[in-house]
Amino acid sequence: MSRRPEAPRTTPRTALPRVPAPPRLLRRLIRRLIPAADRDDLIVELDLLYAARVRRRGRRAARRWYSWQLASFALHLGLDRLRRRRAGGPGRRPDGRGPSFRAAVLLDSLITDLRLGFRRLLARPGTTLATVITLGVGIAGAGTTYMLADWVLLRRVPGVAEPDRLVTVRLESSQSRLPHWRMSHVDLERLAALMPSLADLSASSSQAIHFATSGDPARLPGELVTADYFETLGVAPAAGRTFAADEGAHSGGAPVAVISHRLWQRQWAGDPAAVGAEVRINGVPHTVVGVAPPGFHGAELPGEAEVWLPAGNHANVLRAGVDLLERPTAPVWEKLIARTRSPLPASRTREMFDRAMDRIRDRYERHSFIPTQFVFRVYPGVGLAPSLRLTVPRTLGIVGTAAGLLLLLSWVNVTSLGLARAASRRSTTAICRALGAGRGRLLRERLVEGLLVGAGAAMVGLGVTLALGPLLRDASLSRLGVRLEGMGLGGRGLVVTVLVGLAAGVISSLWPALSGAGVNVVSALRSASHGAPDAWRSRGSLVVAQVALSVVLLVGAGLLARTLWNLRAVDLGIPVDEILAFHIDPAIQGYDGRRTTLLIDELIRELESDPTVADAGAVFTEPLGGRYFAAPYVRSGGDWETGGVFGNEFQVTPSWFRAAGIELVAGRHFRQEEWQADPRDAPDRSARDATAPGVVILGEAFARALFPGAAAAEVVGRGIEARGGRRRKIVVGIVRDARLGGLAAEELPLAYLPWAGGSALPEEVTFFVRGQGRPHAAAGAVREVVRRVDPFLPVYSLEPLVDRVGRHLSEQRFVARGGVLLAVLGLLLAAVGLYSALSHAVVERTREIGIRAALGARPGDILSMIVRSGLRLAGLGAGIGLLAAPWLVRHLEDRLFGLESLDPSTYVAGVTILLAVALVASVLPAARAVRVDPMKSLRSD
Amino acid sequence: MGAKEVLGEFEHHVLLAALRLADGAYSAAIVLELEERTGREVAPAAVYIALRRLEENGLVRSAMRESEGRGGRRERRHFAVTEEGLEMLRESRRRFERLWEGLDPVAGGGSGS
Repeated sequence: MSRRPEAPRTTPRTALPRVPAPPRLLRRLIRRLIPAADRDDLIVELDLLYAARVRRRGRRAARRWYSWQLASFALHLGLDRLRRRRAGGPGRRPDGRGPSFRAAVLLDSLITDLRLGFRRLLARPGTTLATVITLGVGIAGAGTTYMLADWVLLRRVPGVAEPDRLVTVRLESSQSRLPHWRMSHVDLERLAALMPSLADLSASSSQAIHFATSGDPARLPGELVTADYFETLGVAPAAGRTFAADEGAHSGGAPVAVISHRLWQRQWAGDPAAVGAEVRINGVPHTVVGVAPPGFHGAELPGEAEVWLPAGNHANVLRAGVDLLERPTAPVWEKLIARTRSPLPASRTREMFDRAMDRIRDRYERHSFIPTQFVFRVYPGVGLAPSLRLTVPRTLGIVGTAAGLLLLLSWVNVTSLGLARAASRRSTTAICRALGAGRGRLLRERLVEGLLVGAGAAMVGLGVTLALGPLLRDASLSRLGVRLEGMGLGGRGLVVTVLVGLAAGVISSLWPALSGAGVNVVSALRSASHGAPDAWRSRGSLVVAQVALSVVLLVGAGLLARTLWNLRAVDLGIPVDEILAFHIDPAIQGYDGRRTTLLIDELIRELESDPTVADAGAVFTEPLGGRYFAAPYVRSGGDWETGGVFGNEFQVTPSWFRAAGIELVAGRHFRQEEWQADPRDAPDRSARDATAPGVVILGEAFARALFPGAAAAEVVGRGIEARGGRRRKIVVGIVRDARLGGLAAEELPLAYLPWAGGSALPEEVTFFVRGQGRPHAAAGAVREVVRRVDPFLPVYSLEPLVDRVGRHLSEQRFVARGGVLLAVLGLLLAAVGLYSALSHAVVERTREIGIRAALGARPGDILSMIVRSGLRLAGLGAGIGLLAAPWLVRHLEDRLFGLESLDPSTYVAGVTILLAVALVASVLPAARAVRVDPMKSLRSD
Repeated sequence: MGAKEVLGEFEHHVLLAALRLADGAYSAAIVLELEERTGREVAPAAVYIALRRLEENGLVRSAMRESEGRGGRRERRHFAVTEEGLEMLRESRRRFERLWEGLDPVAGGGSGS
């Protein structure tokens, strides 16, 4: 505490070793209450009184006393203020009947209402607690959704100035929104010249880079940017400078880089000497000229970039070392960032871009590289990555819908409880009305009660939301590109949650209040002990709605849980827990095809000579990465219409099959010379294809599809052709099938080619290493070998393959867990709703039950009567839920694996669980009905 | 707002305690004094409000002054009964005495005020 008073000096007279201090939080709260002028003085006086009390009565009593003082001060000061207002304080009109007087009266009666409301709520602690918790759970759902949405959608990019004048522009296909096109640098310059009305136009592309200071090189996410990138965004460096204008121009500028604040802290511990330091980027020396402000990692959220390179460095950082900036058709810029002179609607900006593009197409025709099916898509501001602007709101939509359902469910429940109470209060209400209480007055009383419940529920909701925050942060939503580190509720979220809570409280008390306040005095008094049939009906319909909602939640959760189950059960066909995987990216380090081959060969040789390594092999399309290269094949001489099959191509080294544990069924593996043959040795592609047939190894499924009915051994030696005039290939081997596309990916049959059979340089090379023991054991050898072969080449994503599979699963697990949690909550709420409705019905029908018992009904009859009425409601709700579920859960379709959204067994299971719970919820009140003593129940009237 | 004609009971008590404490009349001391003399628990908030009202009505005045007291020497708000306050106390005593006149045998020899 900052303003703690000085500890009173002890005098010889009191001679106490230490003055006991009151609880800090309470002390701070009381301090807040006291008017500023007396604050410091009075709080110390209170400390003295507290100390005196500790001496006299002990610490516990003193603490209790002190906490009472909080209420006491609130009460006394509040009353005093009220009295002053009423008396018409200084400067008020003498009659004291100004607006402030009326406000005071209103406040006074509000305080009375609050007090009465409190008293009424406390009189039934069980019901109140149930209500508050029920509503609180619903509010927690809303709060959590808001927290997520706020973090993902509404956050601002740190360091960016005036984001409302910024737009993000991408070239996207007019047919589908996702594939986008990179713009050439030449076109960017033309565009800038044609759009003088823009304040700034810059561009960026994400670009992985290899970064090394003195220690091990690392692969970092970076961005290639135009020199005015930082100026356009209005981002000021934390140290040093950003790029100078000439650094953005054509290749040949001095190699410079700006680094992120995080990298600065990590590598240089924030030492200013980092500016001017020499680093190696992709093996080439660069000078660090500046540091970006804290939290800035590119104009996107979640931003990742750690290093920025000006376009002038292009030749240094891109594959093949070609100067792409001067070629009008080279795809360079992923997205453009434009700053307008004043805030404009995105549609206006888009018109400007479209006009400019039309003129470029007119003027340059073949020399522009903007294919006509691509159009500019303008996104207002910077922040959420364009590709995520579609998927994230959808995912949030699913979360939000579920949370909305939960809130609705809890609201329905609370309303149902409220209606039940209103029904049981009918006679009291009627008496109040008869004694002259106005309708409005009664209504206000109930609404104030609702407000109190809402406030309590908001507290519960806040608590749950705050507890959920860390859980969500740990969840990996990485496939969506959404990272939740640092997410918190924040002030805005707090306000929203509390407001939702208060609103939910008031709204849920509205219906019961109206039904209570609208009581017809005479009929209510007359039927006081007979219950109200319409109350039962409306409560019944609420229970039906609840049950229907929870069926929907159960089915959704069931589908997600079974998806997780199905994914876990997937056999990938490779021993993932024995394999260590890692990547290298030699191309951006300047390796050409020939040198890459030699590098890979040397690495495999070195690795296999290490005692901790049994087998090592490389593959050029990352297995399980979700990306693959599919190509159509037909057997030689076959008919494309009937015999064409799409296959998934992987280019591998001969040893890869052993490292991946994929068994050879027939034929042979690739030979060393087959994969080392350099395609560049052939003068051009057509000549190369004509010279000799390539070789291919097929997965069993592919062999079966291409040569139906043939045994594996018979397929070996046959020829197949790829569409598009690629050369004929001879099948040299057949291997066991594996699922290399990823867990949930649609599985295509597999074709393996030696790398030389392919044509493009691999983007990155994935190595599989099988060790002698656990996969981790070989990690040291991997680093050591790569360091020895090329000290500037970073090894990245070094991890057991099973971890990669686990990451795939973790998102699914997160979604499934969330779904199950929601469903369980929903089920609980529905059970509570059914239980409370039936309990009240039993209470109301006590007399009827008594008569039945007196007339000879057996306990079993009464039990089944109540249970039947409960199950009737549950059955009706389940029916409605079953009809609604397919329509609601279809949004989950693309998250499901191994089952349809209409999977009948999940629906049956959902309804069964629900009916079982409904049975329990009905039997409990029914058992109470059975215990009704006929004499007592008849006498009670 | 003019002074009220009659003192409330609690205000009466607070005034008397302040008078008795003379130089050492600050709020904690008044609270303890009241508790000691009346044998009842006294809310500091009530004392605070009462003192504020009394001061507004001109029956006490206050000043920040350094003094030795419970918890050592420090600057604290001291209250002193004004002439007007004294007059008010005397007046209410007279009123009580008039009311008690002739009731001593009934009350059984208690000390009137």
